[in-house]
Amino acid sequence: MAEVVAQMVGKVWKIVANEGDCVEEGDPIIIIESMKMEIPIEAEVSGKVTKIHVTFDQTVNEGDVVAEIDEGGC
Amino acid sequence: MENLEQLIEDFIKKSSLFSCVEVHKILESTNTYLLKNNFPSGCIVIADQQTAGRGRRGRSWFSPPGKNLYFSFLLVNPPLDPSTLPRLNIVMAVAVAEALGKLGIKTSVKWPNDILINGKKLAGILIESVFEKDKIKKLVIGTGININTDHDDFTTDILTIATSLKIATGQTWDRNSILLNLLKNIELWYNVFEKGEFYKIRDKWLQYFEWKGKEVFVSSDDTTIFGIAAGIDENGFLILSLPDGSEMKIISGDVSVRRKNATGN
Repeated sequence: MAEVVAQMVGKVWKIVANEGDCVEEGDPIIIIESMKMEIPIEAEVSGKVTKIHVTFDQTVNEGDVVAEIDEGGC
Repeated sequence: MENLEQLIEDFIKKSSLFSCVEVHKILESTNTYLLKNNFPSGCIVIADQQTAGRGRRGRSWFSPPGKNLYFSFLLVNPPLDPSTLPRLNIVMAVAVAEALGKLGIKTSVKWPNDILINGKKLAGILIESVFEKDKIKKLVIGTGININTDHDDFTTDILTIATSLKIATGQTWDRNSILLNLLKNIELWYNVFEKGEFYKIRDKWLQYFEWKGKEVFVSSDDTTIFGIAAGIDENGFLILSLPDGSEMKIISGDVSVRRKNATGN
C-alpha cells in the first residue's frame, strides 16, 4: 500500500480521484489550495485508490497522508 | 513595446535570476505559455495583450492591448522546499510594491499578494507549479499590472474593484521603465528569500498591509470568518484574532475589510 502525502499546508479544494479508481503514477489525486496557489498532490505509483482520507475544505499539513493506493489493485 | 526586448536583454546579462526574454504582441496568457512550452529557467515572457489572462481559480484578468503589463517568468527545478512555496506570494507582493514605491507610487497589499491603490486592485500575481514526485519541477510566476487603462476601458463592474496607475495618478506611465524596475526588485527580493531571510520580507510586507488591526472577513467556498487581521506568520499565512481571543491561521480565501453598514468592500 502506497501513501499519498501532502507536501505543504493547504486546504482541500478538489478531490480528483475517488476510492476504487485506477490511477497512473503522476495523476492528481487531490488539489489543495494554499494562499492563491492550486497545488496538485499526485500519485507516486500506479494502482487502485483504496482510501481517501480527506474531505472538501479540510486543512492538511505537510506530511499528512491524504490517500492510499494499492499498487497491485488494477 | 519597442526596444523592450533589448532593454531586458541588457538587464538579464547581469542577472542572477533571469536568463532570457520573449516579447509577444498577443498571447492567451503568459503563464499558460510558459507552462505549455519548454524554456530554460529564468526565462521571461511578456505580452502586450492576453486573450485569456487568468487569476485565482481561473478568474479572468482584464488584459487589453497597448496599456498594461502582463509578464511571467519560469523557474525550472528551483531548489525550494515545497513547504516554503506559499512564502513566494509574499515575496512577489513586496517586490511589486517596492518597485512601484521607488517610482513614487504609494500602494498597499491585500493578503496574500494583491497590490492596491486607494483600496482598488492595481496588480495581481498568480503563481502556478508543476510537481514531479515531491519536488517542484516548474514554477511559473505571473504578474499583471494596470498601467495606462482609462476609466472607459474598464467595464462598470471592474471599475468598482480595480484601478490603474493612470486613473490613480492622472498621468500616463512608461511601461518599459516600470517593467525594468519590477524585474530588478523581483530579483532583489527573490535573492533575500533564497538566502532564507524571509523575516525581512515579512516585515516589509507588513509595512504595506494597511488592514493590520482592522476587522476583516475571510470568505472561502461556503464559510465566512470574521476577525481582526493581526499579521502574517513565518510562512506568510494570515493570522486572524477571533472574538473569543484565540488566533486562527488562514491558509486560503478572499480577505475583505469589514465596513460598518456594509457586507463587502
